[in-house]
Amino acid sequence: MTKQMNEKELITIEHIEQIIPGDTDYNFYFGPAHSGSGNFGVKLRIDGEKVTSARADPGYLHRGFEKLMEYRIPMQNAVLSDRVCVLEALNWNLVHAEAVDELTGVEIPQRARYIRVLMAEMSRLQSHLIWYGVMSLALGFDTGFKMAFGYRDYILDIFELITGGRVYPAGYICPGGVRRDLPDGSEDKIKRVLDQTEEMMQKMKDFDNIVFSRRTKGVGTLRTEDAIRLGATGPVLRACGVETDVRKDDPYEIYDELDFDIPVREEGDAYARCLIRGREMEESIKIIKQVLDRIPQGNIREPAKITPPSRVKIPEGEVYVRNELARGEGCAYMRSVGGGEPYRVKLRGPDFLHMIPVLEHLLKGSQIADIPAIYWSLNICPADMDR
Amino acid sequence: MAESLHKESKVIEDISAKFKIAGKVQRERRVWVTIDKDELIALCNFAKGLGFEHLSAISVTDWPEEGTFELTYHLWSYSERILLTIKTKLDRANPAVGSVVPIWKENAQIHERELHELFGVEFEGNEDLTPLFLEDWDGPPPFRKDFDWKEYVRQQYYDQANERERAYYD
Amino acid sequence: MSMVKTIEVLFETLFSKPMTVKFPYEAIEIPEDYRGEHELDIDKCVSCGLCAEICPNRAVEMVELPEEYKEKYPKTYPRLDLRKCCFCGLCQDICPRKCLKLTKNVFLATPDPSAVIKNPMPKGPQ
Repeated sequence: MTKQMNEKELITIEHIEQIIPGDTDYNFYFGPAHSGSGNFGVKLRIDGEKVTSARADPGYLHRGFEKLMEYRIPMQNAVLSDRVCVLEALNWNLVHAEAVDELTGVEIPQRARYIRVLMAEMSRLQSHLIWYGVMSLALGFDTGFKMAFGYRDYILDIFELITGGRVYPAGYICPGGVRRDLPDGSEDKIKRVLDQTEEMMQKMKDFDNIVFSRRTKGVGTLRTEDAIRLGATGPVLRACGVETDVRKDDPYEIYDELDFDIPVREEGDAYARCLIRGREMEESIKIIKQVLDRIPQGNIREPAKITPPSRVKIPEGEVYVRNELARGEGCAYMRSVGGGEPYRVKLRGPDFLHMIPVLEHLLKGSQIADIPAIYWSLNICPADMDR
Repeated sequence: MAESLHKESKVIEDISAKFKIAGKVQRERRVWVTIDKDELIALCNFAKGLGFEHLSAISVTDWPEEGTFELTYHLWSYSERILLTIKTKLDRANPAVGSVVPIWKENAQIHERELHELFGVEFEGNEDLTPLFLEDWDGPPPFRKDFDWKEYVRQQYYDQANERERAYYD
Repeated sequence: MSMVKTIEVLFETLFSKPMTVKFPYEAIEIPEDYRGEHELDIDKCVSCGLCAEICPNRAVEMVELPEEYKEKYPKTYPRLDLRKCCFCGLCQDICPRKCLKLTKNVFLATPDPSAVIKNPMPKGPQ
């Protein structure tokens, strides 16, 4: 045995298996209360260094929003919709507000539409910065983490100025429009923050080759047909060569008037997903600049005053709205029977499919060391999966 | 208006030619059809053939007065850019329906698993319907309309001695 | 090449200002419209109860004042339980007289449990 090993001068899994046969097989629990995974667990079966099977174990963050919303009026639900996904609260505000608006048929003031898109794109930017931060942390690149979260705070300062809260906007994008108008001078502040974000993106590009490519190239490759079958959406699907974006294919708000591109890559690996997100940030900045140039004056909410809860009525009907979130496709099905509260709300988060079928598929056959890279390259958020 | 909804009407025409059901175009890119539960699987197969390869979501609406569950399948076509919603009704006393797992594979599997847990709908042919979110849950399926969660929580968790909880329970 | 860039960035950051501030001595300015601690102008309040109605968490309750103030303030006024409050500011938005406001005071952590329940109190000397 020793002689054989000397000849090859390399210990491989096969060698170990020869020495201790059958003892390389074990269970490994990734999560749920672990800084590397978020509030979510994966039960892994590992052979040596290789993952032989993976089974997602969600539910750690289940709060039952769909049921809670059946007992509240839309204005209160708007506040609740922040919590669906902490990392992109404003985007979920928009999903909820759109569903209610389509049911009530209220004509949203043009200024409110622009503010909604502005805030949704800012939220997308900060969400991608969080992703960059945790992705760096998962790859052992702490500088990137600290930098991304530092620059994200500049965007949070803007949220604080406009919505009155840093992380939770408390239903800033509410049914009928938005809750507050932009304060004086906020345009200049947003422009300054965009410059700072561009500075961060330049740094991201500089670091790109050192850390990211070596840990992510060829890791967690998803083929196009698998991606569609497993229900992947958003950046994950675009990294597999499918040119699709809800903002273009199924435009909502004012996205059909704006000029932006859909970044697509063919490789389908973790590296492609990283690059797609970098490109998406550029597109978001492009959108925000266009919005700031064109934003009209006018009302911000229709009706301007909040209706007292006892007088709220949602007309009977059912709608299904789709939005492009930072992580993928976010949808809401809303059914009303004419009461003040919706009769049934179904929220469909992108991570419900990214974290269960897609993650299980990608982890199977990967190496232990690649788990964080695969896990975070999907940019997952347990909150919107468990709801 | 009629001109611009050409794509949407075409989908309905294709479906009604084969299944003898009427559909409705709600607005641009939104098509709704209702079908009997026996023909659901055949229609889903047909829709997949039309290019609806992305199952966006499955949802259940509970109608206790009618005694039915309403299932909605939301399908998106990447090529046609249309969202097709298929609706079907189940008997609430015997909520069993054929699984769409053979059509949309893992994607459908996980949606059905969620709805089985939250509404108690049986998907015949789906092999893995183990609980997803709730651990050690022994109550009825919690998202049903007749599940009185206030009473359930009061019995399980109300701490009468805690002054602060009174506003929630009384 | 990329290593050179990294060292370049490193030196840049070494000599630039830090992103953080030394908190107790300096602080990032909190904007005027921040949703912080509540402030009730009881003289303007008309006891409509809309704040209690819209509160998503039922943190607002309409209560009567203690006996000594009853003569001047006979109706019910909002009492806030900050433990339940999610600081959404809906009470502020719906208030018809704009007497309930969220201020920019964020320093609400306290070891005293009774301090988190804000009873309606007339202004001035008590």
